[in-house]
Amino acid sequence: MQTVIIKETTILKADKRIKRLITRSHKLATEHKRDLYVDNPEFLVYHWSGEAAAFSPNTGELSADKDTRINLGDHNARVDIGGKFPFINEMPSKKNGFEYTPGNWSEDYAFFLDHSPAEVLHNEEIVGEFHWMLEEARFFQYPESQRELGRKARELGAGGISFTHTAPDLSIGLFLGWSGILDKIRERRRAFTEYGNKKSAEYLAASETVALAIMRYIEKHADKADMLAENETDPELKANYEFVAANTRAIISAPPSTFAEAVQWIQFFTTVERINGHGNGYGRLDQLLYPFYKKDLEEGKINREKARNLVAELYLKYGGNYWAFGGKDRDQKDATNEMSWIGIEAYDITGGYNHLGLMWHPNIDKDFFNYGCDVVARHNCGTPTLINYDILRNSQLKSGVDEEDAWNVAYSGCQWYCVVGKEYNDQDLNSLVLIQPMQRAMQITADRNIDDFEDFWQIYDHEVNRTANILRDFKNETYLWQAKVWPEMVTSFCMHGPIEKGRDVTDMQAVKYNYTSVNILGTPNVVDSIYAMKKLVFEQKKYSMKDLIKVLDSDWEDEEIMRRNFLNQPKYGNDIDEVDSLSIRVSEHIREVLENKRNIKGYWFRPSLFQYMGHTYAGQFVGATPDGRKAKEPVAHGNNPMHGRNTEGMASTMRSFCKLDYSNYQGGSFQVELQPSFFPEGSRKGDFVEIFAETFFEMGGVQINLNTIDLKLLKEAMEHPEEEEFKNIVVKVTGYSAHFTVMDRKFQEEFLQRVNYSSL
Amino acid sequence: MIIGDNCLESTIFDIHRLSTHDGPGMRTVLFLKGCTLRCRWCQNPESFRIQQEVWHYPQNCIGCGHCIDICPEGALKRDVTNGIKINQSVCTGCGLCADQCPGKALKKNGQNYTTTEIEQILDKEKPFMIKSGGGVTISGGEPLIQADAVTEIFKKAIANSISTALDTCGQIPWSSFEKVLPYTDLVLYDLKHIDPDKHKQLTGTDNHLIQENLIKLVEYIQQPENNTSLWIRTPLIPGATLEKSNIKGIARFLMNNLPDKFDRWELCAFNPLPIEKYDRLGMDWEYRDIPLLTKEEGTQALFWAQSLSFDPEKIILTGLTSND
Repeated sequence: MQTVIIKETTILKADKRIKRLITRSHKLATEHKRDLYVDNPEFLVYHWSGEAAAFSPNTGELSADKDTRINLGDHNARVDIGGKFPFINEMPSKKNGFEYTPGNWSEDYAFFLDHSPAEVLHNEEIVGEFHWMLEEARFFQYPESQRELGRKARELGAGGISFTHTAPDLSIGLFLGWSGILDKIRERRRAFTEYGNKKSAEYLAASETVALAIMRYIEKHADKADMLAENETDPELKANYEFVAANTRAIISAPPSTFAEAVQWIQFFTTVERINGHGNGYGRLDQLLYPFYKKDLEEGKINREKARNLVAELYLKYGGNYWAFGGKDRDQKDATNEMSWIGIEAYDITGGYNHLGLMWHPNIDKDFFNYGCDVVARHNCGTPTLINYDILRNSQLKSGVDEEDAWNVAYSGCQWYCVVGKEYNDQDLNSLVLIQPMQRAMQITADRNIDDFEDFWQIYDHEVNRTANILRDFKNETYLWQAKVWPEMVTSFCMHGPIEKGRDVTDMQAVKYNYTSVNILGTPNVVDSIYAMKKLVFEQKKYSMKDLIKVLDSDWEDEEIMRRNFLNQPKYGNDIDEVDSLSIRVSEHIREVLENKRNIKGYWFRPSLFQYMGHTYAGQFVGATPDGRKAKEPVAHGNNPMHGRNTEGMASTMRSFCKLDYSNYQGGSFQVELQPSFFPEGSRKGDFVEIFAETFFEMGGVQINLNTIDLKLLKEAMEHPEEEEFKNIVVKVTGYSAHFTVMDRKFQEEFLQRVNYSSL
Repeated sequence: MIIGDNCLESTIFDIHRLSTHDGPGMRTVLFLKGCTLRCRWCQNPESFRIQQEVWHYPQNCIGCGHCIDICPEGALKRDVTNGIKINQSVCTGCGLCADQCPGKALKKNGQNYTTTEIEQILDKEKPFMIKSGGGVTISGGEPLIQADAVTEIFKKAIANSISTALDTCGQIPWSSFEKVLPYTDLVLYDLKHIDPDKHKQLTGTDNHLIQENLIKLVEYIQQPENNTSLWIRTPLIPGATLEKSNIKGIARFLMNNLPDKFDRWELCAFNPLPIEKYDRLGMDWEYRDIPLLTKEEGTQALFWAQSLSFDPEKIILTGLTSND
């Protein structure tokens, strides 16, 4: 670090063709063609809107009012071209009757795919994109029995959708190809018919319908490319179309045999899979593609640059999928290979919005990790996100995942991760707002004139259990219906178990692991609140619980001195043992409560100390809190200290944060917002990122989301979103990235409130 | 200030963490109170007096007025704009008001830390220091006013494998240097103006002692058993130090006296942000309206500095410059 000269790094650049694709991708985002909506703020806080079954369909009968729905940003793979699905009235379920059966679903899916245009655009070598999602054309809603429980759960502070947040094992499909998958389905269907298992036979008949539709869909692209090639006079464009025609035709039935075919196979799979879902991760791209790359390299069919360009297209086409790199192999050796580098290099030439995860461990290839950190620093988009592989694996092992499976854990989403191909753990979109049971406990304490802190804690325990119980009931009702209401048949093709068992991945006993993950919202506020009450209400008896509740109900009106007294109590995030030990107590408590609940699949519930955007909107639902927080303020972001309360620098914050054992939880990201002025002139920013990340991981942290962005610039971007210079700013909002100017204003405002570590 | 047998205290007005601007790597920087100079452009006017002071933060003030009654000197009164106002000439810095303020709008400026407390603070930051090749920097004010405490802090740091750096203006008896140098890995030494009369006009004293001490420092460094390095720092202040004759003059001085004895010469761009600090202390500041240096001005200063035959890579421009 003594040198001031910037070390020589060859900064990779995109060629002209890729540059054009990048421009297109940015345009799609900034023109709001990749927007993802949720119905209402309730969705963000409780992860269930009470309206649509999951996210807000962009169009169709269950789409929300344009004025009230909330824009999460350009987080969609769907490319909007305006209007509804053109054949919406001819959907089989509309004409022949709707049923909650896999057969009925598969008929709709096949029709939908058959009537989705095959897009082969000029200038691209990897094709496949979609303009509507199945939920815009087929009825997607749970029965009233489930929704009633959802409303009850919300009353008590919980909720959640169950919807495609797993990671299929694409190596299954890459090995079998579509005809191999079809053969497997048919063979199992024959077997179940023989056994007399009608249910599984019917499910597999439906699977067959879906698989055949997918093969037709791929063929459409080959035919279209052929036609475009024939009519094309420009030799370069003609050659392009011919390449696409050959590349797509080769994988209609047969498994891919070249690198380019493998990438195309993946793009098609993720397209036809995402068309009925939102947001799976897709596993470890370096492990998936390396064998194809190696073979092509040996046969002289490819070079590093070509491979990089193809992966870059994969990223741009989909719009930023969750891929994992690095980590360890089955023998716990470093799994980094040349494909890992290519995967990050492909991002390096495209930049901007993406969701790659780099799984660090102490023996990772040092140059590779250094390169990854350099990419984070140079692009300023929080990509790749940096994750501690050992904690991921340990948390799986602690849950009871077998050692033979746990090694293949892959970063798969905002803060969650999957055992590739073997789980349906309902990750990410369940929520428990811990503040609410605390508030109920406070009221009961006041009503019963309780004056002892441990008695209050007992009541708190009881109320947390009440919330967990109703959440369990709501989820279980969901699970009873899920495979009927919205099976994930395409995902099931690349999972270990569903085809073999004739059961959808969302069904009981289809895949090996079926925990339920729950995001906990507001933990630092609960910690700070309980601490303040412990001191001021129970120990010093300066205020009564009754008075406190009254003041909170009026949002601290006319009681500013009282609010300051609560606000100025020691807070979580400053490495103060007394507060931090309460943080451990609160977090361990919710973990134990959830571990004691069983879902209908026989597994327990697991907490994640992170929640992606609920903290921005929660204020209106929970009101003012005893930590001195006013109702209109956001709550804390995951387990990060509440905005503005960590005043002792990053090391102290990390120490507070890492007093928890993150292998006890399912994720808990640490947010860092750095200003450019933090970095001295002529320094290599990536080296600093590496230092933060490694120090954090060595302290036991699991994931670090790093933004290096100028807050002043962001303020200007908020005022002038139409200016070209601001349109390309991408920030790592939380687990996912987004173009800043496209985000909902409230998200923008919250982002600007975050601590930045330049002014220490 | 000595309290008890082995519990030296130092008065510190600020602590910066993960700083990359005060020595190599990531550093914890301790800013000690009290200064032997009165530089007109000073970034940290709260460092001038070693005594504690109290500052008011209007944005936190809720106007309750509790502080007015608490103050034993009657230094506080109501103010329409800011809530209350401190009469700094009456205030003794006892901080009773700050202790009681519910809004934390009154803060003591300057806190006493024992060297043990400092040791604990540094230990927390140690992982970052070790990984980045950083350490602790003691600055101020003029830290050598509290040379005994600085020596103790450095001794403990070194015992904990933390590298040490001293940021000094040199206007202090050489005996203070002698105490601290055996435990100092790096000295950041300020050379502000080459002309003695101008130096006096701008900082309150001429540069005679400062230059004399630098020569002695170089003699110390030259001895093979000593392992201390040296960086030179010059603030670039428009109308004061940012003049061709001054920069070239300092360059000549370095060339003549210690051409290969320093590892780096930093030219530090002026920063107008301390305006608020002067307001809080009720002090006037003549640099209130001076803008950031432009990139061109900075580059020109570099050019003057490199005019002699130094290794050009040793000379660095630091701090923010504007593009206008």
